[in-house]
This record gives sequence, structure tokens and C-alpha cells, in this order.
Amino acid sequence: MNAFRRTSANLLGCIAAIAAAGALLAPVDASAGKVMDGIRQKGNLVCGVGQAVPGFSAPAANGDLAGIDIDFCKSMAAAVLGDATKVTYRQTSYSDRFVLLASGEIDVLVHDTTTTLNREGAQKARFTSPNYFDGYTFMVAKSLGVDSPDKLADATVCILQGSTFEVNTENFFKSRGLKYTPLVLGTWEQLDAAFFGGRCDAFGGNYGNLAGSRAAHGNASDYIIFPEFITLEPYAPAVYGGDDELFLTARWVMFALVEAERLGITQANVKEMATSSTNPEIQQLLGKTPGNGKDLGLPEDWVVKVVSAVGNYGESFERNLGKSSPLMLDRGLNALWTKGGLMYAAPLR
Amino acid sequence: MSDLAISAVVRQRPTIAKWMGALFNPWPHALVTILAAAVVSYGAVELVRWAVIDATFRAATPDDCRAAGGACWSMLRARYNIILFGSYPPEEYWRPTATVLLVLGLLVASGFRTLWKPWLAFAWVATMIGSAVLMSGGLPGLPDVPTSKWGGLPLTVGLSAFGIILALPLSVLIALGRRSQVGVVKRFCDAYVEIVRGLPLLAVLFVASTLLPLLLPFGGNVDTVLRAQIALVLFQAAYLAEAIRSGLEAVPRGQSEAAASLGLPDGLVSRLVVLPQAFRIALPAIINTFIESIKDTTLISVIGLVDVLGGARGAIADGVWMGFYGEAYLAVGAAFFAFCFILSLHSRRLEEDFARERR
Repeated sequence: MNAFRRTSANLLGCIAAIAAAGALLAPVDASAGKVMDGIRQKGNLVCGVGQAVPGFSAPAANGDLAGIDIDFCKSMAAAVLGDATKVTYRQTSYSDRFVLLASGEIDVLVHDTTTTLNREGAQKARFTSPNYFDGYTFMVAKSLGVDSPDKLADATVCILQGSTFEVNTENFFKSRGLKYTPLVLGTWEQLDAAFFGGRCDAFGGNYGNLAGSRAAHGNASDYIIFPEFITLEPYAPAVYGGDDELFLTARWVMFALVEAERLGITQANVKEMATSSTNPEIQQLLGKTPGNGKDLGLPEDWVVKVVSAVGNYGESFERNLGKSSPLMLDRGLNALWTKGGLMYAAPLR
Repeated sequence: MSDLAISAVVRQRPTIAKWMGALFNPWPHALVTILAAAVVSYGAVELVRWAVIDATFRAATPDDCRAAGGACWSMLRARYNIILFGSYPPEEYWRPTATVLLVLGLLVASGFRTLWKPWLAFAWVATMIGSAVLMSGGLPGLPDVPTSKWGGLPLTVGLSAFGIILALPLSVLIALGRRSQVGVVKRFCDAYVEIVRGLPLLAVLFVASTLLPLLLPFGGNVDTVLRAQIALVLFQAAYLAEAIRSGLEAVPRGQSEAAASLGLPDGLVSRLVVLPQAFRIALPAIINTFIESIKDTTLISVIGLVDVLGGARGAIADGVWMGFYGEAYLAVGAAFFAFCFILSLHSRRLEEDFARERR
């Protein structure tokens, strides 16, 4: 079974490589702005999103996809087309997402995707600033009496098979000269069952996923997830290299969401602020003082459209991942820089 | 042994004493019997405790379920729509429902030999077109629903049923081609079957989804669902062709020689004499391929389509009802078992039907 899985993974990798090579040969995106032109022509943005990723992209009760990644897709459509509903969601798998981006099947990829050098350098993805800072860490039961990953000596650790998590864990324990017993399983559901069934002391994974599992078991206060991250996993939206116009739009939509939060612009008050605010920063962000829209090739009220559709970054976070969602994540690294987090917007001027 | 003697042996029912003898004598048998019974009954008791006694059927919130500790069947009540229909708009649920009933109805009808008339083929073509129109809309009274919103049962049922129906004629041609006297045709069909059988379906789907748009000039305009359908048809055709060829090989040569000596032209010999017999022989293998293909459709998740299994994964990822894996997967398993079992029964009835006729 392992051999089979490995073979099919290799095979997929091989096909992906062929497809990527084909994409390079194919005469697409020669001129900048071609993808953006296509979006405008279709009047529709094709957004590659995850399948069933709690808090990022998962169907709500009425079947519509919801999550922080979905919110970014809506923001893009609101900025470019003036209408957040003009999005076609293409659910992608972890194995084909970059191939689809390269082949132009999707315009924007928002799929809890970590920004890495290889993905930008070799696979020609272009990432905006992160919409969620995640990191690899461990979850333990409070009753274990361990308050830091450094004290996990001789622990049995549940880890996902075939992921970078295995390497991360090995490196972590080796660098501290600690012994541990890995319990490697094939799917997240199996790991979940093993950890909550008491088969391992610690559960290794990205903070967001661990918090999702913890919330699903209903007794969140019995477990702690260490805030010390072993590796950083900054999730960011991406477009394919070659279309500067689309890339800049994605990059500044992300910044605008964060800046709106810092300036206290919300879904509820954005329309009013756009007309009545006397703060020059807000006037410029919301287009009362023109210029930003023209520089990006967008209507001057693009930020008004974006914030009316999904709220500011903080609102989107709270709704999908934060205290008003079942995941109940802390803002942590995803708080504004003014509140000790990493969320920071370059000046929109 | 004659047929009579065999049926006499079969008719002799084993008595309780004989059962006891087999289970408890000699003593190691007794040990194994008791141990196995203990394990099985422990498992059964635990299963009943989880699935029935501790289970929650009408909980309003997931926390009520977690407090009860057993299976949370109310999760299915709250999210059945995601499992069955994926992201299809709720006010239009009647359309996927009608599509599924239409396809299943025709499938069941196709299992009765009295209905094997030319109009059945037309009925299938009409159903294919009808389902596509019903699902995608674009007519007055039927709002447009893009394929990116399709999901759940209509995809599973539609892709597997249409897949096998479209693959069937193709596979007959390939099977005949492999027995052809014309070298080029034979070699092409041989190569087709060997290559497709040598590839995992996962790879075929992946190629259809990602390479097709790059390789064909109009590939980018082919819809994802259609791409999956084409990949499934091409894949199943190779397997079906082998099933049908096994039937062709099993028809005695005397049959076609006799038909030819009566003056029937080659085409009619195949159509009237060889193929019907071959088809009859190959029927269990054909249905077997069909049953496999139903389960194979779950692989379409790798190209981003949401089948019933994908719907179940979505239903337990939406935050509120997270973590109830067992319930969702059991429900999906039950649905697949029901489909496959109905097909099995159909196949058995057809075989008996044919057997009666031959007597």
C-alpha cells in the first residue's frame, strides 16, 4: 500500500512536471495583463480553492463554499469586476493546484498554500503577502503536564505520513538531542482518532489544523497547542507569473484588507466612511482622494467594494477562523502589527 | 457425477449435530470457535452501543452529540444536502434529484431483457442530453448552474452510468478489432487495451484534467466534468473490451462456421450469432466492471470534482459538524453498497434468465 501510494505520488509528480513543461512551451501569457484581460472579458474570476479545509474553504449549510480563502476570492472579484459574486470556484487538490495555475485553468490560487522559494522560483507562482501565518507545532493533553515542546522527551508523536511534517519532527527532536517514538499514519482522520484515543502523547501538525481537530472534539480546554512554531507556514494567495497587473491587484487587495482593519473600516461602516470621513488616510484608501485606483487600473472605489463584500481582514478572520467560528483560533501571529502580530500593510498611497 | 447426483448432495441440509461436530470437535476447534465468537460478539455489542444505544438522532447541536458519546446521526440530518448535492443551489435541489432518479430508473429498466429494444439506446441518448440540460439549465424556468457547482450523487451516478453505457459500444469495436484479420486494426486495438490497462485511473484522470487543455487547441474550453467523463469512458472501454473478448473467445468456432455456411455475410455472423452469445457469457464480467467503475468515480476528487465521498468530506469540514468522520463515511459506504448490491442482484437475475432459456 505504501509502495503503491509512493508510486502514484511519483507518477503524479512526473505528470505535473510534464504539464508544467508543456505550460512553458505553450504560447500563453506572453504579454503582461493577459490573464487580467481574460477575467474582464469573461466577467468572471476563476479561483482555485481547497476541498474541505475547515475555516479556509469548506461548504456551509447551504452548500456555498465559505472560509478565509473564499473571502479573498470574493475580494478579488469585487476589486476587479465590482461584484463579489462573479467568481467560479474550482476545487483543486494538493497535487494539481500548481499545474492548474500554470495552465491558466485558474486565475488565482487561494488554497492554504505555503509560500516557498521553489514555488516562486521553479513553479513560477507569485505570492502576495500571507492571508494566514501558520506554523508547525504540537498538541498535547493538559493532563500530560508538559508546557513546552522542549519537554517532550520520550514522547510518542502522531505524524502525517509523507508530509514535510515527518522531516520537521525528526529535525526538531534531533537538534535538541531528545528521543521520541513516531506514530506515522496515512490520513488526518486516522491521526485524529489515534491522538484522541490516547495512542500518542503529542500530535504534530500546523496550528490551524490542530485547532480544528481540537474544536471538533468539543473539550478544547483539555488540550494545549504550543504557540512555539517549529517551522513557519505562511499561507498566501498566488497568481501565475507574467501578468503584473493581476499580481499587483492581488497583492494590494491583501494589503487593503489589512489596512482597512487598522483604520477601523468595517463592512458596516465602509459606505459611510467613504463619504464622510475626514481622515486623509481613509479618504485616500477609500478613493475619495483619487489616485490609488488609477495606479492599479481599477475603479477608485475598489476598496469600498472589497470591504463591503467581505469586511476587513479582522472581520474575515473572526468569521471564519476566530472566536465567532467553531475553530476558535486566537489571532496570534495574524493579529495586526500594532497588536503584536505580523499582519502589516505597505502604505496604500 | 451426474447433475442428479450433485443436486442430491446439495439438497441434503447439514444437521445441528453436524454443525456442532465441525465447530467443537476435536478440542482445538472448540477453542477457536469460542475465541472467534467472543471477538465477534464483543465487536457487535460495541457497534450496537455506538450506532444505536449511545447514538444521537435528534441533537440540535454537535455538543449534544459529543455529550452522548455515540454516533451522531443528526449530523447526517443537518448536512445530508452537502453529501448528496455538493454546492448545487438549495432552491434547485429537485433538478439533481430528478436527474439521479431518471438515470437510476433507466439503469434498472435496462436490466430487464424484455426491454432490450432499439428504443433503449435512444432512451439512453435522450437521458444523457436531458440530464445535462436539467443539471446545467439555461432554459426559461431553469436558471444556469455552472458545472463548478455540481457535486454529490448526480456526479457519481451520472459519470459511472453514462461512462459504462458510452464505453460499451466502443469496447465491442475494440474487442472485435483485437480479433481482426487486418494487421493495423488489430495492432491498434491491442496497443490501446494494453496501454490503458497499464495506467492507473488516477493518472488517466490527471492527464485528462491537466494535459488536455495544453495539448488540444480547443482543450481549454472542454468542461471539467466532460473531461472526467471522457477519461472514464476511455478507461472503462479497455476493461470492457477484454470482458467482451473473453466472451467472443468462448463462443465455439462451429457457431460462426455454421452461420457462414448458411450464407450469412461476415457482419451478420458477428451481429446475429457470435455477439449475442459472447455478450451473454461476458455479462457477469461486464457488470463486474460496472460495479468497479462506480467505486472508481471517487477518484475524480483528485481533479477537483466533488462526488458523494467528496461531499461527505465537505460536510464534516464545515466547522459546525466537524469530526464526525465515522457517521459521514458510513452513510457514503451504505449508499455505494446499495448501488452495487442492486446491480449484483440484477446481474444474478439476468444470468438465471439466460440459463433458463438455454435449458
